[in-house]
Amino acid sequence: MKIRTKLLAIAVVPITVFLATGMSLFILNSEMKSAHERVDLNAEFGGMTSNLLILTYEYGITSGERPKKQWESQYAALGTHIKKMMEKFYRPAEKSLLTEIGLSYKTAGSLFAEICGYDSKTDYSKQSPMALQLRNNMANRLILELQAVVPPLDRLTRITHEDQVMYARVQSLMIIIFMFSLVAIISPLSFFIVRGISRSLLLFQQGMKIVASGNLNHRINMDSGDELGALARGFDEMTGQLRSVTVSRDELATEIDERKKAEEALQEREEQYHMLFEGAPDAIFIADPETGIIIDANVAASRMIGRPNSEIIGMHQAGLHPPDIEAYAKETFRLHLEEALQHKVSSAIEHTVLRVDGSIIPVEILVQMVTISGRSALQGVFRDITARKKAQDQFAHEAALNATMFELSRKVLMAESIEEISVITLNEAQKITGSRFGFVGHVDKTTGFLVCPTMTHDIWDQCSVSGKSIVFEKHGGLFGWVLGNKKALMTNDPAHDVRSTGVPSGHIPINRFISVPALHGNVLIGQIALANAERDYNDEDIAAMERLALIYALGIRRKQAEEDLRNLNEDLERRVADRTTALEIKGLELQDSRQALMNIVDDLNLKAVEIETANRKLQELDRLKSMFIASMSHELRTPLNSIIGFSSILLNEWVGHVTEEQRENLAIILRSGKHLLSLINDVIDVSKVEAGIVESRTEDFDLYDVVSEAVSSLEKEAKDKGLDLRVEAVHLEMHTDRKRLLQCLLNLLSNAAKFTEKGSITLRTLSGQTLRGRSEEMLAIAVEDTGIGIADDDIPKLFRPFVRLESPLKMTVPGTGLGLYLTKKLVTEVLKGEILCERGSAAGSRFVVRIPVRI
Amino acid sequence: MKKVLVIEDNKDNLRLITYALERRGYEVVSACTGEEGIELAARERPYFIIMDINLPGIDGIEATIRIRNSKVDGSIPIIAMTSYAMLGDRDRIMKAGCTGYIEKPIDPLTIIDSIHEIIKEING
Repeated sequence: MKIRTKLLAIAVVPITVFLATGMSLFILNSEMKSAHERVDLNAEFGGMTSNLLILTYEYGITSGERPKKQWESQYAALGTHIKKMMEKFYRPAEKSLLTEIGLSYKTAGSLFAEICGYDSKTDYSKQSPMALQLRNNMANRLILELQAVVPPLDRLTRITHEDQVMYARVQSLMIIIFMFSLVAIISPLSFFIVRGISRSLLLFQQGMKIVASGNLNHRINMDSGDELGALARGFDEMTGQLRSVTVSRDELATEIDERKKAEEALQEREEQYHMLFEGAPDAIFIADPETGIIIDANVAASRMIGRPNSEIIGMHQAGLHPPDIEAYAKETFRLHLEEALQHKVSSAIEHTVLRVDGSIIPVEILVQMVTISGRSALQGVFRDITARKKAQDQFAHEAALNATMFELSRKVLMAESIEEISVITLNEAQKITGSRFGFVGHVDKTTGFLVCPTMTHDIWDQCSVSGKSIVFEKHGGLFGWVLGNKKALMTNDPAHDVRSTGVPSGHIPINRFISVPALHGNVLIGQIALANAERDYNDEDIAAMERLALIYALGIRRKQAEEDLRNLNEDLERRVADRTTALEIKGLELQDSRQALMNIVDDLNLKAVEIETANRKLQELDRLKSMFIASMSHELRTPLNSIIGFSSILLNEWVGHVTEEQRENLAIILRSGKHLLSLINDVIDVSKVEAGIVESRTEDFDLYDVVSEAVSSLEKEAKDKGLDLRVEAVHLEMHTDRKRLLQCLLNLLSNAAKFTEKGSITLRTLSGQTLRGRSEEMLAIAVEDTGIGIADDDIPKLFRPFVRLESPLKMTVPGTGLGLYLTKKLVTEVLKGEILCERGSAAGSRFVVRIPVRI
Repeated sequence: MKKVLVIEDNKDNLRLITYALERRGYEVVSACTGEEGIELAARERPYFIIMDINLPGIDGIEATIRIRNSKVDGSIPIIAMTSYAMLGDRDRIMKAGCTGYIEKPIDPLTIIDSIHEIIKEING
């Protein structure tokens, strides 16, 4: 930007601000004018309202045509005025106030029209005070309505006034801003312009100073577009031309200097190389690439080959290597050369070098093209890698050994038998040591003998020892020493070893021997022995053998354990089998017993069926017997009924007089019939009692009545025989089987009568007794006679059926032998009491019946 | 003369009862079967009935039930007469509607007194 433009900018800014401010002030003024107009409109509006008030008042009093017309024209003008005001007053607050005012005027207009309407209908010539009063009232309302306009009008006026005040304030503010902006804009602008110019001038001055001091590379580089910038660019151009002239002169001098330095360095480097060459720890040979003749060799090279430097120089490079690989050596040299020519340095290769003493050294050769005294030569660096090789071999040996061990462990684990383990172990041992012969054996746990299953494999055919066996009961010689001491043994000269006792005749000759014991913990398991390797045995062999022996020992131990386990299992199985057989035999026996038992059970079942059948038959028979008795009783008693009944009628002379003789005969018929009936009844009763179907019929009765009935039936017989019949009975309410009780008493009384020829029969009752162990009230009835009595021995027989005791009266007294048996049955089973017989107090006998009063 | 109906199939027995009844001044009407007895009971309106239980055809129990179910005056005493008193018979007889019962063999000297006693008990 040109300086003029800058200056112009300084002038333009205030003009712009001035114009803007001025325009603002102009707009402000017009706004203020508008505000004034609004004030005027408002004032006019107030005046119009006052006029309307006055006219209303006037019309209210006069109701004249003039005030009415004036009111209406004023009202119309007011309408236009409000419209005009609506345009001027545009703020929402003002608008709402104006609407409010407008509404009030609308109401006022309709009120005035109402007054006018009222007037037109009224005859004003006859103005009554009342009509006047009404109109006045309406006018007053109108006035009140118009007065309501005043507060909004006041507010409107207030707003316009506030406007004026505000405008004035804004105007003052504008002027102040105008002043300040003017100062604020101009001052910095002028400052920046002046500063820019002075800076450019300073830069220019500095640049000139630097160039003057000789630095022709310096440039002012002022990008300013003004006059100062043009000046600076001109100056820079001039400096540049000055510089190019100076540089071409300097370069010539430098080149000469550098070439001199290079020559010095080359010389120095050759010296350094020689030093390195001679001091290098590796052997270095320099050969002619064309012929392969060695032209130089360092000290290390002499040391390696074992020849002085003078001998080496002039040799063909192939002479460094063993003669048997001469062709290989030449070929390698050729390849080396090619590679070195292509890539400057060959890759390292392994080779062997022949020493003057004939020994061979493994080396690593690195070949490189070098320039010596301007001629191209091939430099070979030979590094002795004997140690590395040895380490590598060792490592490979170890790895192979580990692999072998692993393989052996695997095989031993999978081996089927001790023999297989032994063979595998021996094979591996022979392989590792390169031994021609060997054996592997284990110590039998029970006998302590050494058992060598491998003997049959290899040595066997070549051995001609008498009585040879794979089992060694005695442990002698070298192998015996190992077993005895549990230590490894190695000798490469067994003939002179003190531990040797020689070999038996026929034994294969032994020139080298190695053996290790196989130990498990400290227990001797067996032995590995090897002999006649093509080389001497060494410590490595011992170490390898010991590891083999460990695996072998573990394998043997495992096999032995397995064998033990198998033996145990077999034993167990055998015992189980024995036991099973025994059990099976027992089982068979048991089965036989069971069969026998089942046969018995079958028999029993058969018997049970037979018994059941028999039982059924018996039951059937019993039923038939009962049926027979039942029908017999009916069939026998029916004719007896007639015999007794009709003889009784005849005897009582119902059908006419009977003679004395006839009477006696009829009495015999009646007596015999009755006797027969009683016999039949006894038989029926006995069968009923025995069948358990005797009928028990309980009822309430007086004991005295039953006793009387029984005694009365005997009175005649007693009287006939001249017997004294005594009765001592009590009245007692009873509840039991009356009929059966009566039957029992009759039986006892008739028995007493039968066996008593003279004396008395006594019946006594005794109530209020209790039987031992029973709570119910008991009754005792005793029938005592003075008859022939009963022998003590006969008393137990008394109550058996069909028993008639031997007595003088047996033949004369009739009886079935059922009377007392039936009585006892009835007393015990129907009346639930007991009966017993005692020797009477005098001669004779006494029967006592004890029964419960109630059942 | 008061009438008594005797239903009894055994002629000898009937004759014996008839002797006993007539001697005490009763007129005897007799029937040999249950059916005949029922008919006579309705026709003759006896003072009391002596009913043999073991009858051909319908037995005495059945006949008693029918008489009691017919129009015949229910207050006529029916005296059952049974030759064998097995367990349960008495209940069956009384349940059928008999006033009382007497057991065979009958005693012509005492039978009427026994019957009078039964009737007296019933009539109170």
